Amino acid sequence: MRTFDALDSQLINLLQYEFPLAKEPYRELAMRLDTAEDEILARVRRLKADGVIREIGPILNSKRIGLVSTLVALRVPEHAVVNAAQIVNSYAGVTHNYEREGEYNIWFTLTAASEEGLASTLEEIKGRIHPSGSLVVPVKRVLKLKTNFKL
Amino acid sequence: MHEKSNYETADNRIIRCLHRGLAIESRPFLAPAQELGTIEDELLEVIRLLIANGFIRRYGAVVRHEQVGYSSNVLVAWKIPEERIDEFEAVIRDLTEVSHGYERVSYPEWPYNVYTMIHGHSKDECLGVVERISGAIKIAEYTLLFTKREFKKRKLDLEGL
Repeated sequence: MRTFDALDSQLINLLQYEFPLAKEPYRELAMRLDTAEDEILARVRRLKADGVIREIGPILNSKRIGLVSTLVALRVPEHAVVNAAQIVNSYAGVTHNYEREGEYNIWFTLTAASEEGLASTLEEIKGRIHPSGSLVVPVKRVLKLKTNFKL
Repeated sequence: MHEKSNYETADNRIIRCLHRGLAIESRPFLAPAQELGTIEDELLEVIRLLIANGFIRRYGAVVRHEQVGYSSNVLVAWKIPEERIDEFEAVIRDLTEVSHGYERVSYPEWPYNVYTMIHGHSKDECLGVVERISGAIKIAEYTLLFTKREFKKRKLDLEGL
């Protein structure tokens, strides 16, 4: 695991929790952290290049913007996992796709612009993979959603 | 546009433009503002409204968990009686190791109805958190869905939908 110096840690926390909605956000962060804007920009670029920061932007509420989504689990034989995963991956609405331990071994999230679109894409995926079992488990209620990590 | 809060008026074009994320530069809102035919201050005001109206959950950096020390994680599916879900929610609320908790549809052949994503510095640490939750809620019916392989993890491709 990599370690961060004090300034990196403070910066990562501020970038997640208090990113300034201002014309010059890095200048404001620099003032708060008592350093120069160039220093902040260099650090943020490095953190992004190193893959610590995936992106700086909006975390959208997909349901609120009119999209529908669900978690889906498939049961496929061991030898068919990679091929099935590639089929699943080819859909733009798939954001997460994992092979997992257990009875159902492929788990993915699927998002679509409408309930009908979601259902038809699911049918298409199942028609191409022929899983021996499947589960469609949409969210009924969000209990917790924390998309940031305090350092 | 600003007063209304449904998708049509929140403007697809603005959402799509913002969703691409910011370049790391001194005035990161300048290029998106120009693309949308407006000025930075106006775009920033729109972002504040999108946050206030719940279209945007938060605005800022997304970090990779595994890069900030949480190298292990486990998805746990729990079987929680309907009337005890609030209690379960209270248990996970303050646990920093739990990032996501959802009540989901269940089936007779798959009775698990609550899912949590748990992060830790090791597999053992994750299992310790599962045991703490299980002990606190006194429910031992759960299944561990450890990741064997990650095939895809990316932000939503809005353009491709």
